[in-house]
Amino acid sequence: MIESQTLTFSIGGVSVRLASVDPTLRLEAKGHLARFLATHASPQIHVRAAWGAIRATSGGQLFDSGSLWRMYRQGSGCVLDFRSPIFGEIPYKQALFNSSFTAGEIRLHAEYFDRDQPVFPLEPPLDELLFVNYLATGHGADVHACGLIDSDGRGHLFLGQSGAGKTTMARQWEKAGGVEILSDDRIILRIEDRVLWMYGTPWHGEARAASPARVPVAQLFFIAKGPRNEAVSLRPATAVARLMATSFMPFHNAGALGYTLAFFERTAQLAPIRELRFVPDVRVVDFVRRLGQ
Amino acid sequence: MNIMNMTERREPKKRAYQKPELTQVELRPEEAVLGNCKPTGGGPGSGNCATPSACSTPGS
Repeated sequence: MIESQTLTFSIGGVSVRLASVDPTLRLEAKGHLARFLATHASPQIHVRAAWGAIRATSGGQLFDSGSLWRMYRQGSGCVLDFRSPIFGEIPYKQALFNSSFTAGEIRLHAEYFDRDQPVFPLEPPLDELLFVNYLATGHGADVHACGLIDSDGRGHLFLGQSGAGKTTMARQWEKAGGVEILSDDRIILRIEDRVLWMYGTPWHGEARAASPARVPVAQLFFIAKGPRNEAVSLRPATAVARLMATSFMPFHNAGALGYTLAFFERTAQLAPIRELRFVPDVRVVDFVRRLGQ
Repeated sequence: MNIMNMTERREPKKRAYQKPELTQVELRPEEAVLGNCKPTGGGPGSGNCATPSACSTPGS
């Protein structure tokens, strides 16, 4: 199969090579993903994309997101059908992956797209779904968090669901200056040589902060806004439970859930984890930095 | 090796009983399953996408 164009990007230390196998399908990295484009001699994930006629998958359903996508079993791998209320039951996109999520094929339903325009076949949420499934095969985890590198090069991770204050926290550190925000909404965690690393992602929040940098995690916080700045250490079991609730994982896959649980147990051993209630002003920056000393 | 030492080894100091605690954590399924694109992430709701699909992701 002849490849007419390729894009390679790296997120969380995982490199993806995306190839168009149709000369009329032009690829373009959109949004903040452009910062994550990279050359890599041996990418871990290979994906091919083409226009194609798509039939809805039937039978063997593994998971229904309740929204854009559903996952089905196909051989030892899976198929993801993406539907929109605008188009009805015929998927506008279909993605097939092997069991380790290291190889895939994407078919785009040509009638639903402007074929004169370049596209990004791994358009969200498929890109993040691919990473979530790949990481859960033994490589790390994707968490709902703001991560940053302070002016001393130390990594601070602030976890929380929507509304917890991740973007607010990022803005306080930006006001203080000398900081690099890795993302104000999604961070990839990996453990290498007994070091817990956090990586920035292109999946940002309202602060639109997205960096491909990485840093060892010095401390983790589950955040919430409060009347004063205060931090309480969490028991490991509580910390692990809360990490599970603020991460993204393949809920249909028992093996993946088991791996993720074990990964977070190791996470809790490698960095202090606290609950942080904070007043949304710049004083929280010094408060957090002092806790880390 | 005397008998006293053997006895000490056989009976390690017991830890105080701790009543098990049940901790419930909130999971938000609509966020956790990545059902939609993120409006700010270059997806269908961001205005620069190729797919005119509906998108209303829970935010950050």
